[in-house]
Amino acid sequence: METKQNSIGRLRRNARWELGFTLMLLVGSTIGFFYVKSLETRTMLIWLILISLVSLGSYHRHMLSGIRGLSEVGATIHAHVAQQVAGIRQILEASYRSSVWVVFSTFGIVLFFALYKALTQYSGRLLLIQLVGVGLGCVIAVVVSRFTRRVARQMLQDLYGRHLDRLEATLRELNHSE
Amino acid sequence: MLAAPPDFLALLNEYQPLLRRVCRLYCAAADDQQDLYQEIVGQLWQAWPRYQPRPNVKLSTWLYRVALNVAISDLRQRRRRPTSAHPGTDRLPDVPLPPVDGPDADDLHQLYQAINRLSDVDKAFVLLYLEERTYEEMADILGITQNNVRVKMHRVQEKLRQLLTQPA
Repeated sequence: METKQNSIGRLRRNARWELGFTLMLLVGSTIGFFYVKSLETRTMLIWLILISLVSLGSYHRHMLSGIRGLSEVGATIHAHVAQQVAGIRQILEASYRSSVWVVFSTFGIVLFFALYKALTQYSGRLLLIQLVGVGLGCVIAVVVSRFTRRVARQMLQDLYGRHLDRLEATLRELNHSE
Repeated sequence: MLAAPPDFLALLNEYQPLLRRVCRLYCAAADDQQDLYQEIVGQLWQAWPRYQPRPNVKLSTWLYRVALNVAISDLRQRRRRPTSAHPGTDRLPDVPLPPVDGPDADDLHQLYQAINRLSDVDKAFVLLYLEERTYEEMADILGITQNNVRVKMHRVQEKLRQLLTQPA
């Protein structure tokens, strides 16, 4: 059966999927941590556990509290619209920060291990080549991070921007009569 | 699928014309009106368990709040799809809108056209005015002071008068 969902319903559904994925990542990484022996893989899993915990503690908390605030339809129109504006802003901020944070932490993990490997396994000219590689990796990380920020901002603007603009106009109109 | 509690269905039966009028004001096409109606009923269903009666506040005040909040905040986000996900609303009777005919049909049509050109907030003022709500109740629904309702109402009436006198 096809289902009909409003914008808040879709936001809530997406947030639940993301939450489920993060929980799976957390459980999988924790189980994996006790099974693997390699120090490198274990450190990587600790990174993943840390990212999942930060996501659960910050991103999902902000996201869900923002969505919860959007659902209160019994409030006055002024309060409801103001709550919608604040909630959507909170969601946008959380989404934007999480996009940037995921890219940043992914590059961080990769570059950290590349540097660790270079310092422990190579010496002389080979070490220098490895360090240049890590340096190039850092430059790429900065470029990709900037690109991600731009894309994330544009995507969020396309998804929620118009809706937010309209709600802000409604709120201004209600305030204008004050 | 969950069955709607009897008091909710009674509420819906009693206030269905009110909800239909909100839908009619905010949507021009019949399909969109039906979509909005289903959305409002869905939100009412979800909010109904949290509804707490207050002294000197009518149930209709709460209903207007929910209906107008849904109409104003979600209108342009809606996409038309065949069925509803809201529990219980699939089985609700599909009541057609009251027909607009008779000697005043043209005037009424013209009025609706003029209202259609107002902003979402102005439409709410017009609706509450046409529904003969008091300024006190309007203030309680909109969340602004009675004095501001008076000022805003005057401006909306002026705007509507201009729209009715000028060609579309």
